[in-house]
Amino acid sequence: MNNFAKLALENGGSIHPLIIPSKLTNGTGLMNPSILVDGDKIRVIVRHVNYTFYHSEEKLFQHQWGPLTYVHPENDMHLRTINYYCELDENYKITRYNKIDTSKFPEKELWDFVGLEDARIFKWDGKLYTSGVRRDLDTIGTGRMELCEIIVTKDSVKEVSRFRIPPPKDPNSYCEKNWMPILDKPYHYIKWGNPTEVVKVNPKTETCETVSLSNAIWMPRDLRGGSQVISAGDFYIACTHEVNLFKSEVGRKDAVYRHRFIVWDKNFNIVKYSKDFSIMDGHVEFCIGMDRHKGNLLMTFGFQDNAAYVLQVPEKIVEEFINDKN
Amino acid sequence: MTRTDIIQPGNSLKELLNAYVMNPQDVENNFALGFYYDNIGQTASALSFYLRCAERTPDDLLKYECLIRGSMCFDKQGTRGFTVKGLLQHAISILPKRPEAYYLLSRFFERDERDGHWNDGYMIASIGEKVCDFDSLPLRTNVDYPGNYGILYQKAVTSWWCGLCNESKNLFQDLLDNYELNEIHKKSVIDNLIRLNVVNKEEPQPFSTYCKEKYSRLKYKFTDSELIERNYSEAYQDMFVLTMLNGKKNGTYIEIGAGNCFYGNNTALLENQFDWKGIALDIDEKFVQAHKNERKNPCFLKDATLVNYNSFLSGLDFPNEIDYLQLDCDPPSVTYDILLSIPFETYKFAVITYEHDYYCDETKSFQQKSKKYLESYGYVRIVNNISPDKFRPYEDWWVHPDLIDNDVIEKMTCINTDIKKAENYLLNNI
Repeated sequence: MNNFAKLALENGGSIHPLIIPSKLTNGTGLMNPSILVDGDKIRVIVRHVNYTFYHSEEKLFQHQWGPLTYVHPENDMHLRTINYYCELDENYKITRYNKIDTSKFPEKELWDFVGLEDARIFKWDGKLYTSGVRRDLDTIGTGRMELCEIIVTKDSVKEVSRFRIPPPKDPNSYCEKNWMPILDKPYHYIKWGNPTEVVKVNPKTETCETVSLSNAIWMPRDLRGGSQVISAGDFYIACTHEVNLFKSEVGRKDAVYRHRFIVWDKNFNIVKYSKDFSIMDGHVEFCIGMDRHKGNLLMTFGFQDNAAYVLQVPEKIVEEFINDKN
Repeated sequence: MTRTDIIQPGNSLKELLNAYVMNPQDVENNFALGFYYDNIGQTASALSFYLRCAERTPDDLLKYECLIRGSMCFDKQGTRGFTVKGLLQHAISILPKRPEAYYLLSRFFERDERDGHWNDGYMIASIGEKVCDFDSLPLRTNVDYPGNYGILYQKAVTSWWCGLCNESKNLFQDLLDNYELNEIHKKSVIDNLIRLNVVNKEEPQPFSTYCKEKYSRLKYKFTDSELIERNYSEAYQDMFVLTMLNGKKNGTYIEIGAGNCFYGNNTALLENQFDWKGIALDIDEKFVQAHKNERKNPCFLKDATLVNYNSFLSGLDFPNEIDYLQLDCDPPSVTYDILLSIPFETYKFAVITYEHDYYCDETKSFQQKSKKYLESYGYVRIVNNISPDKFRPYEDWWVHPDLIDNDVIEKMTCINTDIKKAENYLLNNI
């Protein structure tokens, strides 16, 4: 399936762009949004980066540096992320946006990637959090998930606490990222898809432990993290991603991303998974947000690291898609 | 969906997005989405769809345009010159006879602050000049290409930086004389000509002038024309007057709207070299003062629309037959009002240069009105639509047949719908 969005639109779904005005962004990438339906509010985090992703999908007009390139300012090697907090109306249009104020935690900028990347939004114990990976605290780019509380007021959104989560087992692991917060289990993430590893974090004690680890099942590729994990009756569901990383004919980096719905039982054993799919026919897409809204599933995703969208798809269609093995 | 449909501004992003989702391989859907994002400043989003379109379309022209637009996206973001350049190079590779990418690439090098890139800019402009088909149909969107003079303009700019100063001067002069420049480029060309000392800073409107080296090209070699070192008029008016009167000495003139007393002036040559007497009128005090300081014949500070010419001229003892009347005020309605106040019943003028400014006359009426009026007094139009360049018809030139040799009238008459660059009218081609 190369066009899940088409399936959605053909069955009563809809797609909506998420745009922060270019006067604030210089027109560079808006990507990988996350979404949370919180009572009558639809909250979204949109990631803005200072680069433009150049991807010659068909290899016909490659960049001088290869088919897949992050075009950052020539006078600034950093790939910077800034996060915008947004709220949407019932038609999924942005009604407010605020750059998340992180001034309480000054950036160190010790590595090329700066900022909290691919921040998922969720609420645990009545507190609003974002959680993503940060890699700028040392000179080798060690990545750790961070759990950041944000306070939303009428005029601003501030990050008020930040917990850099230690790995549960190997303290020297290089990069922990894309952990999927479980919306109805505070402080629990699915750290890895297959085998499914669930971890619990404790900001007070600054610890993290593995609380369950299922048996691996055969799948064609690693199941990497994606959206938040949402509850669906006796099951949990999330959208994960898989990456085919490869070299072009002249040895340059290239990649194709695919997504997949995964269904777990309440013990986090994988019980179903869908066919892999692309959302909007792009070779590089990334869904890091999912929630339910009035009988629909809302999926937020980045397209080619350069655009951000909300896809509304009837839950019934998702269910059929998961059950359809053809 | 046609090409023009796809870029209608009425299409909302939602509609374009829906069309794309229903057929994401369709190149027009990709282009339209890219163009929409581009226009709202979302240049990263635009880039993705332009690239998809370029890589999927079989149409080389569309590939070419997408690659150029992609480069423009990076250009707008700034500090991504390497990528801007690369995309333009891709575009040239696709359609090496199209001019837009050469122009933009030459401009890119010209604007590059690193030393030595002017050579690259000059090289690209030179190649473009030689290989491009300048009659290519335009692209579907504006890619900041000014038109067929763009590459020459780039060559003019970069050649100076490369030390090819004479080439640069000639190119700038050529651009000014022979191309319809937009306002930005026109100002730039004039500024460059001033900087290159082709024209004086105090005389900011450069134009083609006569000089002795052009003598052999004079169509009508009037008496003593071989002695003229240079003229002063903006569009050879002084040379025309002398042509019609065969280099007359001690002639008489009335100059209404004198302007600068030498630069672009129609009577300075007559006065200085052919000993004419006459009077000038101008409404601008600084012109009048300069005239008084630097010229022999008088210049009066007057609003030419308020003068009673009968009493004014009789008070100055002008003869009833005057050799030359210049009518040159702004706007065209004012010049026409002055024409109506000239006492043609009393005075007869051998030559009249009349400025109707047809090119900027919003009513497009004053050329025709002046024609009808002058013909009613027996004047004959010798040449119409005179312009200092090829684009701005602004004067008609008249004579009274009682006062001008018929042979000259016959030889010099040129009436048709063409715009006539004054130099080409009075000189033979090289």
